[in-house]
Amino acid sequence: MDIYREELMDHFKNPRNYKKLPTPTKSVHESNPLCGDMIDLEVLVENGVIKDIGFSGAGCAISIASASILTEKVKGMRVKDAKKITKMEVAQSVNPDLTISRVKCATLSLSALHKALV
Amino acid sequence: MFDVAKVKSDFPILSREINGKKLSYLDNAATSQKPQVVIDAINNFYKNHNANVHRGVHTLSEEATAMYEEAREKVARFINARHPEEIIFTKGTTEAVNLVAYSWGRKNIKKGDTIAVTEIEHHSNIIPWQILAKEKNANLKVLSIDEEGFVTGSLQGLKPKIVAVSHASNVLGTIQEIKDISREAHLEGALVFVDGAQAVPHMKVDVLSLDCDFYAFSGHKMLSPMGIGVLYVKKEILENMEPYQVGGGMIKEVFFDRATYADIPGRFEAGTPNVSGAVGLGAGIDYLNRIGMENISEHEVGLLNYSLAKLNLVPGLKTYGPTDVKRRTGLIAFTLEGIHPHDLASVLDTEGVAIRSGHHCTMPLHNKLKIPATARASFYLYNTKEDVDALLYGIEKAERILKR
Ligand SMILES: Cc1ncc(COP(=O)(O)O)c(C=O)c1O
Repeated sequence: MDIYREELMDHFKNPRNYKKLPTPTKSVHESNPLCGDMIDLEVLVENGVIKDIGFSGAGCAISIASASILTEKVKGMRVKDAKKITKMEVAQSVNPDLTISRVKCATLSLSALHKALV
Repeated sequence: MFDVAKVKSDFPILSREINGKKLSYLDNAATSQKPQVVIDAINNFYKNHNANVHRGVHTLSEEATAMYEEAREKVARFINARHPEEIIFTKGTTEAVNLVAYSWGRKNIKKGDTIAVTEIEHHSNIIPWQILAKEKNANLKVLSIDEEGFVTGSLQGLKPKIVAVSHASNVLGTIQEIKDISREAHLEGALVFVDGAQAVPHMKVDVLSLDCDFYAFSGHKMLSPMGIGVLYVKKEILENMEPYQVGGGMIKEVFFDRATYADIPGRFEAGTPNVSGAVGLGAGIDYLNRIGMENISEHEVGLLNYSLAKLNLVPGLKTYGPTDVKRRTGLIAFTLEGIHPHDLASVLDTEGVAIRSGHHCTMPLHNKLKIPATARASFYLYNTKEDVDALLYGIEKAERILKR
């Protein structure tokens, strides 16, 4: 079991879309009080499409890396499709070997995204 | 002292491999492992003696009752209570606090009264008091602690009705001077409730010399089964307490318009009790007595000295708790710069090292320390320097993988 694969660590150490947007259409804050992880997520939606997305925050490697992977995936996606992404899919894309207790960490950014897209 | 290798071999689970590595179980503050004699005691109860207690006249029921009451006597002797009927079996520390807040609290706390807790408390020694205070329009006063976790807040002039304090902290390991707190509290006319969940497993506890009025602990943290715990209450106080839960087993006479309650301790043990748990706890206490509580404390001080010296050399690693190892139990909470405790715990797991990460049910304490979470390694009688070395190796590995 090696949940900290190199590719994942690259997302943790050099997170993509780790930025503030100049003109977001929606900003949300989401936190996991149990471990102190928190994320600020911003989206720029135009004509039902996620034109840009950025996040910032503090948390464990799994939560940062998964936010990086998720934001990369949904940039340019239609809101309608992004809303359909499930926790399972995100956990799988981060690392299929995640143990149950760490799936929560991996899906914090997805909860934030779903909040931002309502 | 005792032979740690021999002790270790008494715990079947400790020979397990985790992720292909030897298990180093350093999560004892959450729950301890169980020796074969405890597992056997539970097994023996169900195989040979199982029956409901108190109500039967047949042989098995009498045997089960005798075993249950023998466990109560063992607990009383273990913490030096004067009478076995001062021992109430609960499902753990949490239920014991709830019992006191409900039964003693609802009768004795009035509008405007003060209930004192401390900043270091586990959530289970905060919430029942918080709810009681809200319900009664009473004040919940929080006594402050110093950097090392010792209570500094004074009770003088506060005139609280009760002071709820933990004997040992599950995060800082701090052992409070309960005797002093009891003296001060009694001068103020207050009773003292002590949460001993982290003390009884690790040191000799004598409720008479502590002079506390209530003392609670959990079996599962002291080699015994989950689902059994203890509430000690001074007899004079217990006799005047109302029942907590009501139903069968705790009554004398029942009519449709009234009932009279059983004497102590039965009055506080409604329903079928956890007999196998109590029997298992009795076996756990026998085991601890054979090793000797003083020896266990000494063993843990040795591990503390060894691991604190090494951990404090790791750059960016900060340990918490008293510097005087004689005034703390065998656990170490720490943070590692740039590495989240959950990541550290996950990497350690790949090395077979079990530690805990998070706020350990002490959010107010973590807020005070201004950290969202800590990693915690907690020792017990079967841990060795090799376990500490595995922890240190795992920390190095985490740094290799996760340092940005
Ligand atoms: C200091 C302290 N108090 C109370 C508890 C609650 O014990 P239990 O969960 O066994 O009821 C714990 C255990 O987590 C503890 O460490």
